[in-house]
Amino acid sequence: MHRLWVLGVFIFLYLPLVVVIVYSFNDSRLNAEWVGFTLGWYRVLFRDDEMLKAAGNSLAVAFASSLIATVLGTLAGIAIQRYRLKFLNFLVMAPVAMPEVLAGVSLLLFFIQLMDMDLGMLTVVLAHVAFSVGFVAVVVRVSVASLDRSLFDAARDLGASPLAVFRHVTLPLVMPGIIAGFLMAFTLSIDDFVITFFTAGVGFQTLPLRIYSMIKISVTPEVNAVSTLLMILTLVLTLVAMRLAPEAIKGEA
Amino acid sequence: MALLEIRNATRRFGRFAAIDGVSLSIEAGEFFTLLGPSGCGKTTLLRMIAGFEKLDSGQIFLDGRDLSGIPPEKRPVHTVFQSYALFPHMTAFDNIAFPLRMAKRPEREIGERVLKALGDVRLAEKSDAYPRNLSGGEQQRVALARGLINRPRLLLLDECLAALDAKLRVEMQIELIDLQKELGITFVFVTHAQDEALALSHRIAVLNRGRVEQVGEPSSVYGSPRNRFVADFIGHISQIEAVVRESAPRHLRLEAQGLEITAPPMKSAVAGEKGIFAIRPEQVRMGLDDITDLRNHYRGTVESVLYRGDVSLYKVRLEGGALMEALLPNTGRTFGVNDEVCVGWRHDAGMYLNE
Repeated sequence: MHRLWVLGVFIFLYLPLVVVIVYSFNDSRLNAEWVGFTLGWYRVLFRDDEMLKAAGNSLAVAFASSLIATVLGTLAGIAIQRYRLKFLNFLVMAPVAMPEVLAGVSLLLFFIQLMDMDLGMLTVVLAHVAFSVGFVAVVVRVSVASLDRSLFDAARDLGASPLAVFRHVTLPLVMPGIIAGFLMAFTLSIDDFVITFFTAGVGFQTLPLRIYSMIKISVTPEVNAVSTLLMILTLVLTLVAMRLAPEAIKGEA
Repeated sequence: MALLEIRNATRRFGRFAAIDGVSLSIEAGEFFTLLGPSGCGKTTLLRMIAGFEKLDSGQIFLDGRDLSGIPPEKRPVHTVFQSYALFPHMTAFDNIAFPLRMAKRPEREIGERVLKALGDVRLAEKSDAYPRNLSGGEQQRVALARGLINRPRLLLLDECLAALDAKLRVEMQIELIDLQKELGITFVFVTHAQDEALALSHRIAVLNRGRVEQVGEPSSVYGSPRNRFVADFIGHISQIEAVVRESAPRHLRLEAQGLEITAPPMKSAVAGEKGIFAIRPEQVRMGLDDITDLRNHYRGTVESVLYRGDVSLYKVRLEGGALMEALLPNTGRTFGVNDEVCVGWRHDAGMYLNE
């Protein structure tokens, strides 16, 4: 009985994904019945300039925003843990818990009305930094927390300046956490729709935005193909991040 | 001036004084121990010397130089931490090389010195091992080598033997003594284990509630404790409430729970005052009727026997109700519970304490 329940839950979770993957190889325009195997939709996909451009934009935004978020989140995570900065913790974590629609609207207002900026890649990158800093900070904070505090004292004691302690002790020990944080930020960025929708403006399109505009007409097998690829990328990044993060928590001690 | 001079050091956490007006001077080449129960402030004092805790008042001088305002990395003082604090991402070699690299020594010199240090602590083959692959004793030796490699003026050791099992601990104690003698580096050792303090130190400072109760060589701290706290904290001791009947230059006469006791003299003792008569179990002798030649001898009943192999610890209820401990070798006559015995000690054994 229990097993049936578990099976049911897994079917509910994964069947839609499996359908998307299977139909991306279906030799038919319609997602109705299985006709035969083809890689044709992937060929179509890689000839679709609009789609490729959107994918390029997504990767660029993801790289830029997760890089910035990783630097800021790492510093915040270390500072929160080492100096017990409760308020900074709150400031960094609040956007994580904020409903995305709310974050999207307030970022839009911030960019247009307060900063008088043109919407485009820059605003999307900044918006993505804002919501992913918190995630990086949490992962880094946990991996700092797992370290014996006397390691930092020992390094000072043995002649390392605060900067040298950071470079030779803190950074290498927290590195798995930092990489995990980076991959998380990357994953969050590359498939974000809501906040991107509000902050992208008219001329700029990312992959999720492109997919959304295509399914307004119909869910074509090309959408299935691009979704499959996005799914694989996300899955790989998440798996790598999960492998790294527990390591950081164990602290190798 | 002594190598390390602590003058009136005080450190408060809120209203609680962790270190309360401590003054100590430690000579070059000494193996000096800070001994006290947990919470007595000994680790705080160590961290003040290392530079991790600031002083609210007072000063610490090293080689005549005031250390205030000098950060930990600029002090020629290294610490062996209780948890060893070995860097988990570095091999034994790199851990030991760390202080030399921070001091920007040339890489060739570092290689030679670290290899020699590894040999000195018998870890030559473990050069490339990470701390997680070393045993507790090996980690301990890496931590020691790392603390000593840059020849600090002072090595601070924070309860660093506490995590080892009993047998390894004794081995490490002997190793520590040898190492300290060989290198001539001044050690300041923190422990709550009085047997360890007695075995290792040239001098001991007994700390209690942030204050120094007594400073002296192990034999004087054990043999002539200045007050009840020191007497009680170091080793076993029997204590009986006593009233001074006569204070003479050569002896004291005490009355304690119906017993008349002749004790060693004490200048500050005044006839009529109340205090404590204290005596170590190994000073007490026990027999049937054969120890009546001793000045102090009383009748009693054995209440319990603790057999320890080489010796037995007896608790004896004396006439008048006082409880006395006696430590006797098991090579002579032994006694059982409820045996009627005679207990006694020399007139110059034990001590009267009025603090």
